[in-house]
Amino acid sequence: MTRKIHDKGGIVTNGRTFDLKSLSKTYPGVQALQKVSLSVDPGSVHALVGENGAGKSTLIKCLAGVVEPDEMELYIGGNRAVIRNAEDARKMGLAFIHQELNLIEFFTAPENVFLGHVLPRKYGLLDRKTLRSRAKSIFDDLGVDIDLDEPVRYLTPGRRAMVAIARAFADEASVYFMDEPGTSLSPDEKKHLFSMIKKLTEQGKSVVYVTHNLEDVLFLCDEITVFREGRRVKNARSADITKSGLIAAMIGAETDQQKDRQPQKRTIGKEALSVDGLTGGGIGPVSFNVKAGEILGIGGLVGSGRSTLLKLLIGAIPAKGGAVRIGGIGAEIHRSPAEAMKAGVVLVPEERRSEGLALRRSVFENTVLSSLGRFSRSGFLSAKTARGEVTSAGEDVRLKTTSYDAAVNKLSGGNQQKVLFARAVMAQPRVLLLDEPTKGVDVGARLEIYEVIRRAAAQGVAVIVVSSDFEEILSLADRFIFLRAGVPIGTAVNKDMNQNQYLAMCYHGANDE
Amino acid sequence: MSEQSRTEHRSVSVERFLRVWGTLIGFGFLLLLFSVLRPDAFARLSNLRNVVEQVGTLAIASAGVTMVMVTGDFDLSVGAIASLVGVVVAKLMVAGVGIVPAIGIGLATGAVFGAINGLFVAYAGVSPFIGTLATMTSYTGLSLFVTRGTTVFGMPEPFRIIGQESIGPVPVSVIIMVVVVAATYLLLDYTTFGQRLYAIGGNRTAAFLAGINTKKMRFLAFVYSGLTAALAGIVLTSRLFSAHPQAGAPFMLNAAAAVFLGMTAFREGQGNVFGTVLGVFIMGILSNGLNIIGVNTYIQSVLTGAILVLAVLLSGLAQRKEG
Repeated sequence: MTRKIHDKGGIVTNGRTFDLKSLSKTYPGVQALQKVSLSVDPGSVHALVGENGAGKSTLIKCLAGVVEPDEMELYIGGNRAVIRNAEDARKMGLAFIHQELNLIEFFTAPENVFLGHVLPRKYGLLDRKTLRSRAKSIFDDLGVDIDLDEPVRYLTPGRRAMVAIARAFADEASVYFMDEPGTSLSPDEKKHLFSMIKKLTEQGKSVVYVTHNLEDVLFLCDEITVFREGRRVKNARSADITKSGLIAAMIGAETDQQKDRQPQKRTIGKEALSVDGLTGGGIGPVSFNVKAGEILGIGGLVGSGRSTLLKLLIGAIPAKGGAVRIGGIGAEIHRSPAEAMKAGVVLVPEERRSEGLALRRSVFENTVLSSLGRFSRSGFLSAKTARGEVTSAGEDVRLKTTSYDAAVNKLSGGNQQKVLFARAVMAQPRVLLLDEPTKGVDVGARLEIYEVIRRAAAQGVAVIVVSSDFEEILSLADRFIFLRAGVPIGTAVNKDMNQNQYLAMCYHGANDE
Repeated sequence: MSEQSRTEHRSVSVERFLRVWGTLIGFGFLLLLFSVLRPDAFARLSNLRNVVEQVGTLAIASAGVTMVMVTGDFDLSVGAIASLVGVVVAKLMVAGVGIVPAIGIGLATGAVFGAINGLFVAYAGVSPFIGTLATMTSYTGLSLFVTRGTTVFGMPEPFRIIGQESIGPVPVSVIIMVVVVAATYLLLDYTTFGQRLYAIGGNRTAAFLAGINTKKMRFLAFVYSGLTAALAGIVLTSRLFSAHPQAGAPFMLNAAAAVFLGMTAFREGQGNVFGTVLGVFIMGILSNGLNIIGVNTYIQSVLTGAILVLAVLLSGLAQRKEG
């Protein structure tokens, strides 16, 4: 483990070069990484970008000692390094923020931060006071005010992400690997993360930052390496490359045809869903309506109650009052997702791995899950019909999988998300609820998912979208309602709205509809 | 934090208060109920002391099971280990081995059989339910083989001290129980080891990624469970002053029930040793109180099962959300 050593001139000498000469990894049937290299200068932020399935996560898992590579030649500080397990990686001075937060739900923030560490002791027993104060100083450094005594399951998604980030900072490491650390952070929390990264580099440490957010890449990083299909295809100083150049490198020749098309004209139909004074789960009363063929964006900041609203609509959180009317018939509140689905309301949840997919089950089983009833012939699954429809739904969303019998956790994040979309489309919804539809999804798959969403709307489905990605929600939505602290504070029609106007609505609301 | 989330926080707190303390309140209610119904027989110091002595061995065995269940595993073999160790210790003493060495060998035997469980479950990857069901069957077979199915008598008199004597007003067996529970509490809540066990139970992948040797930790929990089961077997043998090859059998389900009941108290859905002790006492008081008010023994079992389900339902451990 390296420690900070300041010499008398205040120059930090703990930076160590990280030089991955070659790394290969083959999964059955797929060459995930093919002799890739990655060299990181001390005191720099190095972005690693590429579409899902490009091999970024595999690289990180190999370095973290979670996945065993076929071949790895790695030098840290000039010395050959061998990593067999998580312990080894830590000893080599590598720290990780994995994409899945990997928190222990009922542990407090300090307990999570120091998970797996040598813990402070007093008289041979665990010294919780010291543990708490050490964690507090990390969170203070991060500029985050966080409840240190609550189990983390009571924290907001942003705060939970900060706990996972703080965990990496608790390691006295020389290279920090961060896999999509910014996805659930509020703009404010992200700012703190970036300034913390800056502090690290000032100490001569380096950061490898993996993200799909290219603005962040260009803003934050000194050097950029692009992966495509398990190969290193580009390496450049960030000053020497533009966003479109990056996209071109990431998706190769397909750039032009994959460009995000402007929303085409859609015919807006009759009212598909109307919500009147809905309360529950700590939010409301909320009233609004969506018409068939319309895409409604729910605007607001993290914690404003957007996801809660979606969960209320499908009955995953019990409603306390109000009415939900679908297709102009009946006034009812759904008591369960099953009831909601019967009425044609389907949710694609935010946390695809914990709320969406049965990870070890096959692509087929996961896709057909919401429509099993349709394929039931006196209780038996009519597999042939089901397979046909699953395959065509998969093609609709441009799902890439070696086989529909492959376990869904073998797919890349983008393809896992497409499985959820295929499932939703197969359920033949009238109202489609999308919570962060492209979280952790790469550019190419993201554009394909936008196509799926627009096509569904064009076919007369009413779509409601929640997204923290401003660019995404501004390109998708026809109209917005804005929530703050669980109550609507304004509505707006999306007539070439820009990000600043949108953000201003999130904060202050108003009404110009 | 915004106004909204603060009010939300408060209503959550009330719910959490009940979830954390509800089972204890229920226990208080049981005590009160029996005291009112039969103040003459139930609410007497001698009777309560009797209850504590009766449940002492179960509490000792359950402490070890708590540790296993904290990691998300399960141990069905504690009853079989307790019986086997009781038989081994009794046979050794009858054969002339001193009391202390015999107890030492007994404890070591328990640890070894716990280790066998741990090897199967943690290292070989057998599901804990099936793995310990199998070892339970084999361990029981061993006890029956060693004793030819008979009860072992004729141990030296001083061996009675452990299960039948008192130091001042406090029975020795109760002192042992308190020591085991305290040790388990310290291990679970105040050591790195315990912290790791809770982490494994909470999210095994996360614990693994954090560099915790999950297999070794789970293995050690089984060894501890074997050890406490052995101790429970020794105390039980002394109390009965005989060793029957199936004397510990009731521990198997009662210990698991106590830990489950305990999960409904204090730590919101996780195994914890004080919760387990509370679970043991609820079952003890229930059996004693129902006996005193003259409820049929078989109906007692029905009620015990019902109370277990009720506690889980009321504590919100039931997964209502996913309905």
